[in-house]
Amino acid sequence: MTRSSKGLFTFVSMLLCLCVQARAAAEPAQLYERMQHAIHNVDYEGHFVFQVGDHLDAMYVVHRMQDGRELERLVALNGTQKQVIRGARGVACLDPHRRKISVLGTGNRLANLPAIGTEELQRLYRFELGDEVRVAGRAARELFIHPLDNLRYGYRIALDEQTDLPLQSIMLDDEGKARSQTLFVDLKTGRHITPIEHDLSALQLTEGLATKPLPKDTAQTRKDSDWRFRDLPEGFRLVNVLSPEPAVQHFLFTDGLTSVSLYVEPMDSQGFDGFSRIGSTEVFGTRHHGMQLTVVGEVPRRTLELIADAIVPQ
Amino acid sequence: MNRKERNDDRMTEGLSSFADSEVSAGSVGDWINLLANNEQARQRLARYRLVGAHLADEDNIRVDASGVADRVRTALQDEPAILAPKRRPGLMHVPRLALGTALAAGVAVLAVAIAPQMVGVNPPADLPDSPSFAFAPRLSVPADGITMVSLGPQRQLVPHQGAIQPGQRWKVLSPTMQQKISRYLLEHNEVAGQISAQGPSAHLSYVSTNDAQQ
Repeated sequence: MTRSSKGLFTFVSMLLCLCVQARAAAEPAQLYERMQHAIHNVDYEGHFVFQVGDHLDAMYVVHRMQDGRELERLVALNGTQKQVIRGARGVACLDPHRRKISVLGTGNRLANLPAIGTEELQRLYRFELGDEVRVAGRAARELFIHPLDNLRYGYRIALDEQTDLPLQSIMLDDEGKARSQTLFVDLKTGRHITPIEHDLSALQLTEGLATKPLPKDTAQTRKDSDWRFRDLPEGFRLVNVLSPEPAVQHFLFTDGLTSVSLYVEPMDSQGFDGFSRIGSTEVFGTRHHGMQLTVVGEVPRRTLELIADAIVPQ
Repeated sequence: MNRKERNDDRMTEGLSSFADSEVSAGSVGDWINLLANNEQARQRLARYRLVGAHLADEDNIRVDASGVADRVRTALQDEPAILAPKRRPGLMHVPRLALGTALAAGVAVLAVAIAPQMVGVNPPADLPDSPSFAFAPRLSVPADGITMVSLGPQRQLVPHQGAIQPGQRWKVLSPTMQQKISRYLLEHNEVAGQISAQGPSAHLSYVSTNDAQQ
């Protein structure tokens, strides 16, 4: 090998090393993007457990994409048979304990939300690839998402090698302890899943009862909002203003990886003040500026308080 | 949303409240009048009550067989008269009580065989074979063809017995407040799930049966 060819070989080798390093650095965040895409677009069906603290639920889920619409059924397999059914036009939530069927239309899905790229996400979280693992009998790759402050939770996710679906997802608190987790015990994907669209009764529920559309976000709604926000928690931004009822305003904030809703309504005698927790979701109620505020999200309680404190009249 | 859709919305919400006995005393008469004059409203209410009954307790669902009886009666009227066959001597020895018992048993067996299919408690036979899935839970609500005539008493909500834990203050608030927060959770899940999801569904917290935390 001549001196010049040796030099060329060294140069190419160094270039390849740099490329590989760059790819390795970008790969974890891209993996997260691929998981987001898979959750909404892959057809899947399976049984999984959902754990919050020492409480464990078994659940069944089937998810399909049909004509560009997501169809989904989520059923609790122990305790009361609560379930959520998403049809093409609405979401029906059945609660046998309270003899209630809640229905939301989904004709106005939030299609115009600004996409938050992985570059921006990496200012708030550090993405790290973990080991190859096996979950639900399938090969998976672990992905760690470490928050860079204590205003949001971290995640440890095992992604299916074939589909990028999250076979296991653990939400971690600021001490690295599990707050909640989902773990598939079996999973089917592709054309072999149960065709929920043949379950006419389930879909008819959403077709027949879906009358209350998800509130529209309009430019007018934003303009008419009586409120603005200052000193929001780092990384959170207001991405939508909805008006589910005439007297209620729903502000949606996100940092790109988790979301928080703030409901603002006139104060009444039944206002609620304090924290609550539903599953893995935190709820905070307080009163500011003569209004009842309810903040909902899978974030630390401090973050909910900061978002409530950020509201000021226009 | 046009006027017709708004009226339809109003009727749907009202019927849902009517089915749950949540309409005001003053408006009950109006809803009864509507139901008396509107076939669509009657069908919708029947479906709500059927779904509600199914969710509460399948055992309390009663199936109205009067439609079947009417069809049988009509068919018999249309059929030519069948003359009674000549009595066989052997039959004369069977006690009438035993004959009646046998007939009743036959009807009971038929009812046991048919009723679950009519109320839809069995999964359809077209579930795909899959060695890894023992079952896929189905919503056992028949699409139509069933008229419900009576329901058992509503299951009473059992008051929360456990101690109220810190951070669960709205446990002691009114059912209205609890419903409102459940609705907020549902809406939040639906919109937030579109932005980001780390699990198989956005509605895990809603479906979780951890009622002690609600």
